[in-house]
Amino acid sequence: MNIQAHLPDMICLVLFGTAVHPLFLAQAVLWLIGLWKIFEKCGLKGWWALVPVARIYQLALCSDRELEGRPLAVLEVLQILVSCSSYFVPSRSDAADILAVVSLLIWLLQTVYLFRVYLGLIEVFDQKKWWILPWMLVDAIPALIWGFGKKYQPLWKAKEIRDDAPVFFSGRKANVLEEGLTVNLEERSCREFFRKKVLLRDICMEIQPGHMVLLLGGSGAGKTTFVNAVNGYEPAKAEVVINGKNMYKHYKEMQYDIGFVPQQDLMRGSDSVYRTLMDAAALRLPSSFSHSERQERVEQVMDIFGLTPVRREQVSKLSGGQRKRLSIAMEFIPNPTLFILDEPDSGLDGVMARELFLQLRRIADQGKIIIVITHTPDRVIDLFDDVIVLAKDRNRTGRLAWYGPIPEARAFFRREKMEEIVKSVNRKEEGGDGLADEYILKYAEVHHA
Amino acid sequence: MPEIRTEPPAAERREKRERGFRHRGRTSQVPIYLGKQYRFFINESDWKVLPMAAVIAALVAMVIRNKLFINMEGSLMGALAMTCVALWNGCFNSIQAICRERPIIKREHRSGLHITSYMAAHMIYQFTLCLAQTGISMYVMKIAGIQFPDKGFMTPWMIVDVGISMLLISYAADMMSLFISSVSQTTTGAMTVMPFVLIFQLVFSGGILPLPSWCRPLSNFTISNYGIRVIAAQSGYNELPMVTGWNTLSGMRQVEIGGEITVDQLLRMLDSPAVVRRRDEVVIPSMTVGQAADLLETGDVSPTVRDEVLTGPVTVGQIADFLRENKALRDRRDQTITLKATVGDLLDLFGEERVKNLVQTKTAEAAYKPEYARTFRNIAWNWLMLGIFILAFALLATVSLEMIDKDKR
Repeated sequence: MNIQAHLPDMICLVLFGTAVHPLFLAQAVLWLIGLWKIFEKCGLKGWWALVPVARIYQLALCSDRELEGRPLAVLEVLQILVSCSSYFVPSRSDAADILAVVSLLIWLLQTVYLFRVYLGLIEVFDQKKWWILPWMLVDAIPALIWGFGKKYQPLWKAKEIRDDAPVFFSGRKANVLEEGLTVNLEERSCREFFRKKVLLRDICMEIQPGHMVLLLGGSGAGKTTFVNAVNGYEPAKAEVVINGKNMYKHYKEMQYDIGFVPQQDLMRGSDSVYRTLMDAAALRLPSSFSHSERQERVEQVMDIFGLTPVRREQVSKLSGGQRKRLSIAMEFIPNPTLFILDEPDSGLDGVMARELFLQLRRIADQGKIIIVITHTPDRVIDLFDDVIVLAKDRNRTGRLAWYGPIPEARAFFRREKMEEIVKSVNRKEEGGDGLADEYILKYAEVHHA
Repeated sequence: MPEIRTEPPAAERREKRERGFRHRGRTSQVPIYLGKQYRFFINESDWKVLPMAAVIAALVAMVIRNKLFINMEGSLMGALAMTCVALWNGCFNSIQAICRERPIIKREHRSGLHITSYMAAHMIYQFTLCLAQTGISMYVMKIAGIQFPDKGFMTPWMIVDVGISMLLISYAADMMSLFISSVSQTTTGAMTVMPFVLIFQLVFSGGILPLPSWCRPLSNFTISNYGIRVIAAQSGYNELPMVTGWNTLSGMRQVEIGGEITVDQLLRMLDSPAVVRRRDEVVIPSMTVGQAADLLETGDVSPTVRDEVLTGPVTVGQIADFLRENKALRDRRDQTITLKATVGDLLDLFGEERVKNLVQTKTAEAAYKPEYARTFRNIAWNWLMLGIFILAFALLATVSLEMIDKDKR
């Protein structure tokens, strides 16, 4: 094994991702020059083009395809390792054959991900789809054209989606209520590809018992993340207090005091309505409940949600509305203080949806707190007390743009309909008005005042 | 719409405090999920795996019924076929079992479901399915004409011995599929992986296809490897004759062999190492007149000459020397002799039954495999390995499901 003999090949492979061949090298150098200019156009540092592996991730950032960038970067590392390893095994050996197959597999995966990244780049630069062919076949040419051509400009810059814009904090903290729900959420973040990504920040509110609250926000504004943080399922850097008791500190004890109804009707079609509720009762009610007490509670809940006539029916044979009510009934069995519903009206017509929300209103009137996420709020807005509006700020972090009574929300946003409010805080590329940062700041100022 | 009756919040909170917050433990959750599995079996299509097992067993039995327990090749082929049946049954029992209800499990996990209870229920249910399938398969094979020996090796009955092996293979495959199902997000994902797993199990079992040395260790990680080994061992592979060699030879009866040879070539063969090595071997033993007369059945011989030595022992070397020095032969050095015979003639010459026994015994000796030895230790070891697969896959499935909350929304 002569390492020195293969050193130039390996260096070339690592730096340019290609073999030592004048034609391949020329193409790689031209591609890098084009990339440098594209990175600059997208608001990134041009020299990233010279950094092996990282440049492909940066290219994915330019394409607004960060999720594809991660596997691409990993695949490139693997491809370099496999290709370098092949220099150390005898040719025509079993090991060489295996490495060749692995290399081919990696190359196939790289091609698929690269295809997606280039498609993203075409969308960001608002160009015709046929550009994908030159990008896939001779990437150096389109890279140079797009890099140096004046008419090739991105619609938005990659730096706009990075977490480095100045962060505004309201500094506000909600007062802990003895009765009701208090949320003081400082931050909810996660680690993605060695980077900290802040999903939610600076959200404070107090919700009184008996209130039915609408949770609004555009796609990716953090609605589900927020409710998961509130119900303790995905804890955040926060203080969540229900009736004076800290939810995070007493999670085991309070787990069943919060009912969360997911968007989909997640139940087994082979079970009957009664069996589904009995099993839900067995899981959700304390073990101190006897069998007859559980039965009694199930009968009561079936009565509340109008499921008694279909008690023997299999879940798979229920209508959409009945299934939705069953899904809610399952969570209502432990008689929770806080009830959170994620799009309970999805798939229901207007009449059925209103009927369902009226039912929820009646539950709220009994002193429960109900938080509802819905994308069609205007048909039932009269049933809600308050509205929470979450919006993505410039760092794409979910922030509180409003929490308070419905009429005041209308005045604050100067819009009559809730759907218009959502549109106002949505980003421009999502078809919105792009006023999220403005309202986040305004809400904080109003609250401080 | 009935009026909603709930107690005032304060009273309600007091009641909840008094009730405590201890919920169902792991053991008491198992029956809940067993009940769900039972309803799946009755109301959904899970019951279909039972008739499917019967059909597969019947198809396989038709192919192997005249070979299993009869000869080496048939036993090995039968072992592979039976392992395939068990693998197939096990894999398709559970490949969709978890992934089809993954979002439901996630929801229930949030509501207090213990993953260990869920897995325990699955293990019990899948064991019952495998047991039923094995019973059906063995019964179908029996009535389809597979001649199971009456006496077993580990138990008093061979059918039970093989049944235990089939059950263990099937259950291990079932747990492997359950693990795949637990890591798959969708049924499509699980079904995409399945063919690769089956191909890996069959190709890398090492039972039928000889593996190159570098990938031979991989067979230790396949259920099929231990499955084939244990069934081959139970069928007494090493004690059975190997028939391929004899069948091939017997099928060549009409084939002519031979050719032309000169006297010179024949004489030079007398100096070959094979002849030189046997120079001292006695071809014709020493014989008295009486013995010669008895051999030729010539009747009475005078007692005076009866004990006279007629000839001394004749060795290979003496015959070779005689032929080499024979003038008549030397004069015909360039003369060609045609030797021709069919395989059948040669078999008749040496005795067909003798050759058959010799070929079958010798090829069987050459095909002996210690891993197929019918010993208590070997069979128990393979069963143990299958048991380890079962536990390992069940553990892996549990660990992967414990992370269900990390699923992307």
